[in-house]
Amino acid sequence: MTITSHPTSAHSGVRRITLRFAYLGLILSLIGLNARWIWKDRQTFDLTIADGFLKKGRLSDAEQTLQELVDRSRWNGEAMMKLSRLLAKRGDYLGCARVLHKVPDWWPAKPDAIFIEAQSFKQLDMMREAEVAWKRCLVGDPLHPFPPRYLSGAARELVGHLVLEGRIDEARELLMKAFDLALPSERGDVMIMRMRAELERVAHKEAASRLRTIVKADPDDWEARRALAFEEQLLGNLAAADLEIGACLKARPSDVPIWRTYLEILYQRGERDEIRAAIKRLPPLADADAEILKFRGLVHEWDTDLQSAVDAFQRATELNPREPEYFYKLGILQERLGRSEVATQHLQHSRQLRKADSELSDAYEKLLALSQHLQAGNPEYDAAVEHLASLCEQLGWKREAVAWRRVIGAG
Amino acid sequence: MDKARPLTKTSIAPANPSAVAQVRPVRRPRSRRWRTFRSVSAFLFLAVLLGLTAWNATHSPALDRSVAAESKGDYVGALQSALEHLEQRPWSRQARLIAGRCLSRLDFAERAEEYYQTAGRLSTEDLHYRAYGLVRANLRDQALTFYHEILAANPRDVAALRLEGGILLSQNRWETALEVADQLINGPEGVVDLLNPATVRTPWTLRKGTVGSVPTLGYTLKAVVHHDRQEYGDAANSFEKVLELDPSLASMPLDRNQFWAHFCEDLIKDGRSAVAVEHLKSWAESTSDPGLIDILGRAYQQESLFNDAERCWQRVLQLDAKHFTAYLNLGRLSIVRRQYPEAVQLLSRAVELQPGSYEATYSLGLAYRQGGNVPEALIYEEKAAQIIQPAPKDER
Repeated sequence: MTITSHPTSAHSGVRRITLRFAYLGLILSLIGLNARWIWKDRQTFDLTIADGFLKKGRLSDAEQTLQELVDRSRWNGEAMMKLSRLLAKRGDYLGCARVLHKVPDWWPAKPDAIFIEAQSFKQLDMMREAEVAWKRCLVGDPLHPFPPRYLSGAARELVGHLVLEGRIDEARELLMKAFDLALPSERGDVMIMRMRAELERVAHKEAASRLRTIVKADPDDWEARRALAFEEQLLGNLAAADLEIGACLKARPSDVPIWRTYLEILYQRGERDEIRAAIKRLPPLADADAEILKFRGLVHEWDTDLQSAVDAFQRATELNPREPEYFYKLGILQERLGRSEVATQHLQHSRQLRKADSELSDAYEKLLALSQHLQAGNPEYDAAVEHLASLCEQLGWKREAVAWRRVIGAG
Repeated sequence: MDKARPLTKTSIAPANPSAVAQVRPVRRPRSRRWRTFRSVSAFLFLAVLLGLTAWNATHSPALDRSVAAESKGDYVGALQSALEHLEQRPWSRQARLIAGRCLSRLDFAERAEEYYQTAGRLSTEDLHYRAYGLVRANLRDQALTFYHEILAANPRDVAALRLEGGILLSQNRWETALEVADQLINGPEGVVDLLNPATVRTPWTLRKGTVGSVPTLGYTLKAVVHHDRQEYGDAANSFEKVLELDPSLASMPLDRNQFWAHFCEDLIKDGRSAVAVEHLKSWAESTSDPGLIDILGRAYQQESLFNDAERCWQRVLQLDAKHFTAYLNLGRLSIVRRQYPEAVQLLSRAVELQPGSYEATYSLGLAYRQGGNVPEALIYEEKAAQIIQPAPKDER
């Protein structure tokens, strides 16, 4: 009798083996998954060990422990704050800034983190990153207001930086925003900063030296490179100015402030043909810039197209009614066109602006001297503030005039 | 090479019996009991392992810390631990809800949405947190959606009705606010449980509390709507209803001073200043709120009790030396009493405080005119005329 294997028995054997493997696979994966969770859950998130190292002065051990904690949890704001302090202590400002950047927005010490981040980037001359962080201090979220100590600090740092780079319009806007966010007791300081932004400038040699350091630290900081080009021009370093402005134009051909600086440099050198050529290559948005319109007007004037020059300067005065030079040029052009009545008006307005501008400096100096020993409420101090407010009004700075009056409680 | 042979009894029999010792013994088929035992063991082991996996998938020390921290009011710690739990177990509904609630309480309502939206169906309490967080973030329309959701499930949720009414009021949606007020007036009677915001500062939370009289909430809402619409009679009637239902004002949601200020202003404007004096007299004596004392002064003035009115405004100036209305009212009172030099002095201060006020400038002109100083009177009368006349086009 012959015994033959039954086909179903073979199949069931295969199925049994498959089932066994599947079972084993399932068991192993579940064990692995649970082991991973248990291992991960056993990792500690508390700072006891790091604090112990800090107490004993074992800073590198503390740093290592804190770094591990930060790597393990991106939500541990306290570990991040402590680690950043250690990194700053040993001079690693970049590491400090990067760690502080990671502190979650909802962490209670986030304002401290943002301000220290900005200061760390400043230490490294990485001003683009510092500027972003300072601007975050001035966002003005009513539900998460920034502590006033950081608000005025950030405003001061930012304005200093913007003035260094010649970005006065931005500084003006920013300070008026800082004024709205400041406590009543700090408003006077903000307005003093506002006047400083208008009246004080960094010496060219010092500005160039500072800008060179910034550009060296971050060659892609085009605002700094643009400002450096202008400072180099003013210092007579023409080749360096060409190098910087050339690099800026190549990297950012549509950036209006870069074109404005380029035209300024050419104007300083008296290169009329170059200005004519540059005007033809301007990006489309350039005609919304009063200073560029001034150059357009000058080109028309050189080409004896006086009416087009008048139109350009007229538009410039509309965009920036605070600049006496535009009114002066407009007056001269109108006179050349025989419109002496309009010309006289423009020339007179230009003179008024210049007079108010020079008086502003004296009034500011006087207020600075008075603020050493007097404050709002004192009649002499209030009169000095009122004088500054009326000069601001004459210069067309209505917001500033109102703000000055609010400083003495009269607005 | 051997050809394949059919398997026969003879073919499996060993040719050499001594070879039997070298051959591995053939496994005997296990007994049925053994196989059952093995299968049950395997099943039980798998079940235990699955149970452990299920437990580990939903629990972690981070989640325990998060729950504990939330119950202690440490919302930052709770959020941190909930997010740490979510890093390992992104499906955790409980952690998502904790994260959402904590972000709402820390006033990051928009960021909380990410967690609420992925947490499945929310409980009424979670919906309250979500909605109130949005109210604080000034996302009022979004908040209304969630209050409607709460009310769809439970139309008698007093907290939702009350906050919905508040939002509608802030949006000047008067008619809808009045509908909500009616719902509250017809709401449950007796003491009712509700969730109340425990603090106005960040971080806030909702606490279970009670309200003694729900209709009081409805009448207060109705009164404020009428007050804002300058329907003074209706507003005063509704406020009176509030006092009738809740004499101690325990259930009345407004600040007490605000309640009395609104109510008495409405009474004065409705010509019932005697009632205003009656209500405000005792309350104003114990308060240091200049606004309230000023209203009492106006009520006295309307009742021609000028000495009492003057006493009130003098007290206002003691509390707030820059109170414009007190100077204006005292100045006008001096005109009535024909004390023109005093009137000029008081009204000049009022004009100084509010140079754009027509009433103060005109009254100052009047004080000068009636005091016989016509040139000065002309100056202020002209100024007053300029204030009410629209500025010429080129000056605007």
